[in-house]
Amino acid sequence: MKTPQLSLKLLLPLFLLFSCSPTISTFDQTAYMQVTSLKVDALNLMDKATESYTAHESEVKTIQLAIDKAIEYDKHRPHNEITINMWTILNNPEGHLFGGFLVKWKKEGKCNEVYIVDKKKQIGNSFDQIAELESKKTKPSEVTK
Amino acid sequence: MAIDFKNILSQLKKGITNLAESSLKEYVAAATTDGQAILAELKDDLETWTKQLAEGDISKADFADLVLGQADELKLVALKQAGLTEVRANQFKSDVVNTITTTVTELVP
Repeated sequence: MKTPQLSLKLLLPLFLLFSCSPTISTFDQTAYMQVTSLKVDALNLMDKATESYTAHESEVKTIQLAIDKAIEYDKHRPHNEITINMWTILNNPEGHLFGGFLVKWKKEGKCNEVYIVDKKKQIGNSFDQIAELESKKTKPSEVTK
Repeated sequence: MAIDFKNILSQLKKGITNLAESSLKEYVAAATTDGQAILAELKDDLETWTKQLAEGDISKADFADLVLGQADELKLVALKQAGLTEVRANQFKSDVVNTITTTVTELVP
């Protein structure tokens, strides 16, 4: 028959196992690199919006594809709903961040330089929100510690 | 040898209370600083855009888009804060487990 001391010590690993599963995804280096890299690409492309949209349509398609790939990557990470929602807002063509900016550029042909400077700050900050959340997630090594 | 459950529970209560107090204090401080910085930035941006609109540097459509973009940006800030709260909650849970484990293994012979 087991002593109470032994039972208590045997219960601890079980307690640890069932109480430590995270409710939000852990930090992912690839996801972090994707969002920071896409921020740079997006802001560079925005600088070109003083020129005709049609002259840069292929670059727009390239970055949209890269964003779609980053979102798809994030969709397959467990407990990652918050980051997916953030990407959806940032990329929404009917919204007023990067997705909306591309639609506005296409519709108007060119954008005003002062507006672009203001919008770059706003969209840069928006990419930063996703990157900051990712960077502050618990590192996988800390979960299993 | 008998286990002193009373002492174990007393030590756990003390440890978890200290943990909760320090975690909450850190969270409130970080969220307050973040919130105040965002508000200050939003106020500055709105003033800048209003001036640009008045001086004809941007159109009414540009101004409206920037204001609506600010609302979208705030949604992202709120989502980030919600995510950080979950990260902290998970960290707190993990710290509680570590406190329990350490206390019990130290006090159980």
